Amino acid sequence: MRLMSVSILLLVVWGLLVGLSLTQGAVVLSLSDIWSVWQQGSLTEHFVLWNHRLPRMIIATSVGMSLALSGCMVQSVVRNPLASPDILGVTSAAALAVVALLIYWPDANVHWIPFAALIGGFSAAGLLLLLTMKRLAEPSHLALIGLALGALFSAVVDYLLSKYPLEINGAMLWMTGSVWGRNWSHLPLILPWLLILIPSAIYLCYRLDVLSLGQEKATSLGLKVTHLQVVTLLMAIALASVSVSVCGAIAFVGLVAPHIARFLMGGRHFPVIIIAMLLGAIILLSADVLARSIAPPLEFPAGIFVAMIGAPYFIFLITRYKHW
Amino acid sequence: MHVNVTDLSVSYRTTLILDKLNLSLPEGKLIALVGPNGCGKSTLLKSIARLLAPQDGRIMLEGQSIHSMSAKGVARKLALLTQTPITPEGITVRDLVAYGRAPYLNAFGHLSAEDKQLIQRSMMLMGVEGLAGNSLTQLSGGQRQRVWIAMALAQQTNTLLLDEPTTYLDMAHQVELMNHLQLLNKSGKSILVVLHDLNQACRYADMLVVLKQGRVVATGTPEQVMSESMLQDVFELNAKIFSDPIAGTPMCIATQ
Repeated sequence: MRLMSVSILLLVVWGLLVGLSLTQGAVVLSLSDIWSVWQQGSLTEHFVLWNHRLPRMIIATSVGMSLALSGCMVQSVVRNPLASPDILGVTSAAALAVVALLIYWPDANVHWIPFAALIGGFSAAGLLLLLTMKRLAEPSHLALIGLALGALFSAVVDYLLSKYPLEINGAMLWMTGSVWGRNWSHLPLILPWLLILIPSAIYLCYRLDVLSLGQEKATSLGLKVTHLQVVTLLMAIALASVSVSVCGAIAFVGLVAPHIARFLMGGRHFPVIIIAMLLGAIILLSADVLARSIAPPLEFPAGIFVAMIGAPYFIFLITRYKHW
Repeated sequence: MHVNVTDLSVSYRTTLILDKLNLSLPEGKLIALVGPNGCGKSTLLKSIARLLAPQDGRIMLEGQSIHSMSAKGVARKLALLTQTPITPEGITVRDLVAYGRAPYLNAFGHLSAEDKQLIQRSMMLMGVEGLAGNSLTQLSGGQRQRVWIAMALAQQTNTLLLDEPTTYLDMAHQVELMNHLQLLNKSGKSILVVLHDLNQACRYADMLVVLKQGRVVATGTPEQVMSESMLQDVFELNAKIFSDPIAGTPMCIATQ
């Protein structure tokens, strides 16, 4: 079975990246070190491994999966292969919330950042759904209104950044999207969502397959189309918002992973979302490994590397896309 | 098919498309819906299939109001083939026809042996079983149209609605498709089909329904309905009516 063989191949790639992710960085370990470090808990390496690299690897994997799944769901509803979670305005709204927090409550604990992002993301999603509820029959409106909202939020972010240039360093670092400095405390922000939303997405797969025949055909096959679209969008928005809240804005994973998955697996949602999630994990994990091993001990935000791979692919996609 | 439409009014945004339309469709017939562009044919079809919510009026299907039925309930009684269905990428003929079983399946879409048999039989009825493994994008227009109808057949409904199924086909494929529809009708299916070609409609249909500006202006057999004054009044067409030398049904030819 194709799904099985592609999954196993991708799991092997992911496993190799896990190895690299645990060993590479400012302190280089070998795989045999990992075992001895594990045995003798008192070393500095143990601290690096247990408190930094392991949670970071898990977070990069989870966020990559989450963004990829979000991308699959947005593309199913908007019915446009160029759609991605970024166009819903969720990312820039989350950024706006974080920048506002850092500027207006500079004393706030850094632990509040993910919550601010989450609140910002969900508020934007609520606004978007409110504005487009009556227009779901034409999903391109959703994309266009989402883009416009995103532009609006970004403009406010830029305005705040120019007005308060001194307060923004932390916000800038966060906005580029990075898994740096993430630890165990960030995991509860994303894992429960994935545990609920991945099975829910699998439950919706067949309905989304039927929806891919178009809204009219799907309705005439007995599908409650509007209902399905709203539920799917809410899931996509939740996944995008929690990802942003943990890692900041990481573009392109949500666009690229579903596309490669569809290229490999065809049109059915179940194999596509499984493979897309694996690819999302691989993309973000490899970006993170690159980001910290290219010039140690210097670390780059992983978001930069994702965009460096993602942007050229996006251009390739547009030049290849024939169905305007 | 036993469809009863009473005082049906449907608007799109602010334009009234169907205006207190009344129509009764008998069971077991092949009925052609004709009328000039923009007269509301597609809107009527979509309303009967419950794709559009009416402003006013009632649609009864086999004795039940369609708006009191569940979406799946309607989908088990009535199948609709719209004018330009979207072809999903990378999907085979068998997969597409299998979606016709959707109204009967659980959330995971698992096909039973019986479902698979019905899918096979639907493909055979439309003569596309040899294409089962082909991708839909490789097919010709005529083949594709037959695949869509096979999918509607897999829905196992008493009633089949088709919106201009012959429009983009060449003449040979149009004849082939209409013959298929006639066979399906003979085997018991009630069919309501929107046709542009009046002569084709006269040749194949038991009954014509003529629509003009959102109202039914004539119903009856082709012989009863086709007249030079009707063509002038409804289509603003100057034409003469002859008898089709092959089928004996009315046939119109424009005079200018």
